[in-house]
Formats: sequence, structure tokens, C-alpha cells
Amino acid sequence: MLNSENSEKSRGILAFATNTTDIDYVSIAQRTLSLAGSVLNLPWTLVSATVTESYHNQRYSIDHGNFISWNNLGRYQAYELSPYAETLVIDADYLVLDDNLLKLFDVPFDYLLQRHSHALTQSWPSSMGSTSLPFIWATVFAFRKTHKAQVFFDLIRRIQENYAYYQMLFNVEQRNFRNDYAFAMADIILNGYALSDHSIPGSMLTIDQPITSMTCQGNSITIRDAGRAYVVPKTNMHVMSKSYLQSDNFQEFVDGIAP
Amino acid sequence: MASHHRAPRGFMTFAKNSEATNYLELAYVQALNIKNTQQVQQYAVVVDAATRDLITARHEQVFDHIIVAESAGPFDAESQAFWLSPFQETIKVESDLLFTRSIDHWWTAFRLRDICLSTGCKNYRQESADSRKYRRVFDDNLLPDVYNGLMYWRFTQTARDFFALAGQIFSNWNLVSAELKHFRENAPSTDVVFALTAQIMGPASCTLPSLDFINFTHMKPAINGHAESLKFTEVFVTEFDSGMIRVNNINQYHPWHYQDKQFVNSEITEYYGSRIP
Repeated sequence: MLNSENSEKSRGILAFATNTTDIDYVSIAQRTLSLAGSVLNLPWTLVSATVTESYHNQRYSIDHGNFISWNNLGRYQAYELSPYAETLVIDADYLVLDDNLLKLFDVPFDYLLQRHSHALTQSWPSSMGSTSLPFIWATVFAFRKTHKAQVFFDLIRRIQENYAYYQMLFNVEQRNFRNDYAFAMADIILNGYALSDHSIPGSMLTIDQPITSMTCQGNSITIRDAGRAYVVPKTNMHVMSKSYLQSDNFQEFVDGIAP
Repeated sequence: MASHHRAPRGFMTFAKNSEATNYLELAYVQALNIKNTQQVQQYAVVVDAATRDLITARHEQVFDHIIVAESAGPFDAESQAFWLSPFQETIKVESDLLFTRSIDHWWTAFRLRDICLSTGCKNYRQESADSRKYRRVFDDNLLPDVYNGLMYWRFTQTARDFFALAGQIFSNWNLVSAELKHFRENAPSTDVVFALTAQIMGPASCTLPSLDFINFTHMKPAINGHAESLKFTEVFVTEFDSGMIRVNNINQYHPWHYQDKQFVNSEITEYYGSRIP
């Protein structure tokens, strides 16, 4: 059931970004949020440094070729911190290039997750471990301020706070905390301990390698890395190369689409 | 002649203890489980004389019918099931199978056939299993993908013919198995014998593959995507929650064929005992 306390529904985009010693996530998020806000014609909100945790998290950096520090905690606060009745949450490295996400709000849901992704240069594992369950991509998701969504985010908080337990319970192989996994666990539990295929439609395109430039021509995007150029449709995409997202070329790319 | 039937409908299993397995205890847990989850609660167990001697008062409390049948081999009695059953309508289950919810509505579906074997199986994710590792002899011999671990019949001529034919195949197994491709075991498998019988009778007359819920979750390794050398209990966390069985965080809504005979221990027996009012 939808929350009917708001007389007029507000809708907007939310992103979380906290700088680390290696990456200026806030600047990246400001770029991608301005891009998303322009394409979707929606207001946006940036949340930064909400959790200054003692837990030291790391992720593998495709740019650096090693593990670097990562502040990805606190995503469960999306429900509490979002000023909108209907919220689209994107990672700082998610580029909104078409308006398909707006259509999500034409249908009823409490929360909607991205279950599938494909990459330019590799195939992804589909589960959290060889004997585990499928994970979802917390890179982009949508929610409404309903009771069920509130329970969902509260469950993510609980999973984050007791991650060592849930990690073992779900046979997770990676040792770091990933929102992709915490969201998947919460979704399975809230779905009555069952897998769901209720999803943001389609598969998310991920640019999984270090890249040097992106250019937009009509309905196509040309992405160049050290050795190749890829022409992909002008569609929403997840760009993992944070070095590129901090570059002048990316700023020019954003300015070209969202002047 | 008076009918040998003692009740209109009920569940039946075979429990012949071996050195390695206490099938009687598996049947006991199953009987407790059926009385906790089903409206049709009549339960019959078929045992051999040696196993009969192990039956105590606690068994007699939950077994509604105890039938003693001798057989030459472990599977011979299976073809006698039609004549041994004390029910006009029988759901026969393997003793290492548990229910987490009522399947009472299945009786209605089963009545579309005089005899009905379950078709295919599910993995723990509750998806139709696609592994064919344990079913190569079925595929190689173009046999229907049936399981006798959960099957139904009622006292009809068709069902009688089915079991009579299955009995002939058991009796002539050396001749029959010589004609099978890639069947390398000496002993007949009930699943293969019943699949052959179904093939001869016509699969459409003794299966309901379009009702894809009529089957069970099978906990064999390849079906669930883990190493053959490991038991599912070594790979997944299994939880018991108010009658629900949860494997690797997935609720098991379908009948659950745990298959690992060591899975049932005193703790599980006590758990199911405590669920009976």
C-alpha cells in the first residue's frame, strides 16, 4: 500500500557519495546527478559522509589494479534521508542517458531493484558465491515511502550491522561488504525467503574496464579504452572507471548532454 | 469378499531397515510430519519382519497401519504396493520426504488419472531442476522423467495393470536390463522400472507433466549445484522454522526429499514430535 500521507507526490533522485583518499566521489556524483537530473527533469539530492564507520571496507579498483578504500555504508538510510515520496537512487558512477527510469513510476511497487547486468568485456558471476544465491545490482533502484520499503531498508541496516553473520548464512565468498549483496539478502528475506524476478526491466550495461573517453553521437555512445573503441546505444550505464569519471573528458561529455 | 481397504485415502511408505539406514525412524518422522501438515493424515508403513520387530509403542501411536511384507530384494515389495495398500486412494512417498504445507488439494488433481507418477523434480531454489546427471539412463532410453518417490493411484483396473506390469519387469530384470542403453547396475531401480512401465502403458495415462507442481525438491548434489562429494548439509545452512524448512535461505514449499539418510537425528525427531498437539 502506498503512503497516502503526502498530499502531493514528490519525485527525485538521490545519490550517496563520500570521498576516499583515492577517489573524489562527491565531484563524480555531482556530475552524474546533474546529468540524471537534466535527462529525467527531476530534482536531486546528494548524501555524503553519513556514516563514518570504524569498519574499513575495500573494493577492487579496475583503474588501480588493486584494492582501495571504499565508503559504501549507510545506503539503508535512503528511506530516511530522501526528501521525496518517490525516489530513484543511483550510484555516483551510474549515468542516466535515457528517460526509461521515469516509466518505472507508472506501475505500483514498494521498491524495485536492478537484477541483471552485462559488461562490455566479461561475463559476470550471477550469484554471491558458488553455492549462494543471485545478487542484485544496488547501482540503481527505486522506492516509494511505504511501510514495506521502510522494512526493506531497516533489514538492510540490520544486515550491514551483522554482516559477518549474514555473509556466512548466505555462503558469500567475497569478504568485503557490498550493497549488492545486502540488498539481495534483504530482498530474499522480505520476499518470504524466496527468489523474486520483480525487477527494473532489462539488463544494466556496465563499462567494466578503464576507459579514456566517451563521446555521444545521436543515439550512440562511443567508448574508448586503451585498445579498442566500442559503440553502444545511448542508454543508461554503469561506468566503473572512477578515474575516467573524474576526468575533463567526462565533464565535457556531461556538458554535451546536459548543458 | 470384504475389501481389504481400511480407509478411503492415505499415505504409504516402505521402511525396510538396512545396516546403514534406520528407515523405520525416517518413516516415523514422516508420519509425524504428515499428521502435522495434512488433512488426510492416514499413514501406512510397509515393513519386513525384521523391521517389524523394531516397532515400539511410539511407532504404533503414529502409524495407522503397519503392513508386513517379505520380499526377495529391496525393491520387490514396491511392485506389490497396489495390493498392500490399505487405502482406496494412495499417495506413496519415499520415507525420506517431508512436507512443509498441505498438499490436500493434490488429491483432486491426481484424480485426473487412475495412477500418477510425479514428473521431474525441483532444486532447493524451487526451480524445475535442469541437471540430467542422475537421469542419463532415462534420456538415453527415451523414458519418461518420472519419480516413484511421490506417486498416486486408486484402486482401479488401470492401476492394477500398471503394478502387474511393473512386477513382470522386476521379475525379468536380467532380460529387460540387457536391452537398456547405459544401465550399468545389477539391481533394478524402481524409478527405471516404473518409467519403463509408464512408457509401455503410455506416459499420458500415468503422468500429469502439465501440472508441474506435482513433484518434489530433490537434495542430490548435482541438482543443487554443489560438489558430488559433499552432502547438502555440508554446503547449505538448513533451518527449521515453525514447520517450514529453509535451505540456504530459501523456503521449501514443495515436498522436500532430503535423500541424505543421516539427516534425521534425535533432534529432528523431537522437533516433529513436538509439533503434534
